[in-house]
Amino acid sequence: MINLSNHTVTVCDTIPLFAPIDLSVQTGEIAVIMGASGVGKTSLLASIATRTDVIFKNQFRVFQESHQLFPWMTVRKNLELVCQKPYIDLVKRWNLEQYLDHSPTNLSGGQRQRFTLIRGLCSGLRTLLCDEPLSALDGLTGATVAKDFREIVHEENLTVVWVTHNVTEARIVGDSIYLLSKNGLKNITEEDDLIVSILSL
Amino acid sequence: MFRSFLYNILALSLILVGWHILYLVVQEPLIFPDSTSILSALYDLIWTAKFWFSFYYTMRTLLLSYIIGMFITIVIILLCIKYSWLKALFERYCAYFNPLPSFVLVPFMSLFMGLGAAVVYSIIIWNIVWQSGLQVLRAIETVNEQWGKHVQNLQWSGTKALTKVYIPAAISNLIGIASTSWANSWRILISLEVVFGSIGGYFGLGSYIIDVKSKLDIDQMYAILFVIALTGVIINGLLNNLKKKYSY
Repeated sequence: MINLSNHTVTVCDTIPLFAPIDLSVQTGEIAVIMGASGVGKTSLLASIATRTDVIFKNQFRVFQESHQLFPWMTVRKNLELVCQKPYIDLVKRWNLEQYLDHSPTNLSGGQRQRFTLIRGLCSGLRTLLCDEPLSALDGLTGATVAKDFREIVHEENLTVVWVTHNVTEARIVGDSIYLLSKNGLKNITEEDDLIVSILSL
Repeated sequence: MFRSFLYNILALSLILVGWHILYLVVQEPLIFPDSTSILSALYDLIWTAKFWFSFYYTMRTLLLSYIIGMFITIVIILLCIKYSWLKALFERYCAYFNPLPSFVLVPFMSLFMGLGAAVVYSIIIWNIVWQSGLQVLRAIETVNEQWGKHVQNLQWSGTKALTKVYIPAAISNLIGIASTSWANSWRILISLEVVFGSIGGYFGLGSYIIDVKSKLDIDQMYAILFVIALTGVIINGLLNNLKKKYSY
């Protein structure tokens, strides 16, 4: 699990990006963080990744917007190098079987993102920090992948922080949804309207 | 590939046509011999033991100094990665010494070493260290910026990080640097041989040019020039192909 209390991220060592926040993500929970561009979502994710207690007590993985497959080896080699668990079922489920022996440079952005997600899910790591992991996918495929991801996370009891700009994706994948602004982190409960909250920012 | 081959044929044909026009205009075989006599001289040359000894001496000198130069560079770079103060010093020395043409050092080095083969080795090594050192350092830093977080994220370190990530990521840039460095060393070596003539019993291709020129064997002189250019083009082509193969 991840516990942040009175946490903030600064730029130039002194200027805080947002007001201090409290965030608690339980094991088996997916916390989605949304917010305007430049508010500090990726910085928040990076600050969680560099917290020593997260690195050493749990394990972590960051999915950046850029794709992290090594271009000098095939996708299969990329997966084999990192995955501790069988990945082939997930590859078949997301219709990527025929691309396993391709170089990542020959794949589309969406295909690379799905492979990156598979690598994370099968890596055996318990905490996943995902930074817009489906940004290059079309709405329909993105929704399917998000739904599958949610199921696997709950089955495997992983802890996930998921950053996105996509409201539909947030609703599908998230157990809890937060809006980040310079005033801090606001938890969007079921009673709240997500769209209204975003517009009020 | 085929288009590149056609361009090469076109470029060589233009040189041959231009050469023949000059031959017809100048009408002085001691300055511009007929292209067929140069080809005939080239054919004779490849059956001469002296030519192959010169070729061997030149390649041996270049390879030896290149390997020593690269080894010194790699050791310095590894130390620079470990000690930031050394990196700061090395960057400054590169800025001071890299703009200095290698030939300027000939009078200075000959004070200590005379006009022997040691000067040739020293100048090529000097050129490799200051010219490629900073480039190698930048290439490694770029790889670290791009993949360092990823390696940290996967919790890899040591040999695994080096062999699976850092070396494959840097290899294309390193081959590019090696290629530039090789081309420069080749030019410097041939120029030094031309200037020095025979150096302490060492007789390379550049020395051969001076030798045949003094005997007024101009056809052979051009034939050797052709061999020097061709060798440079072949090695550069091989290294560039290797670079393309490892570019991602």
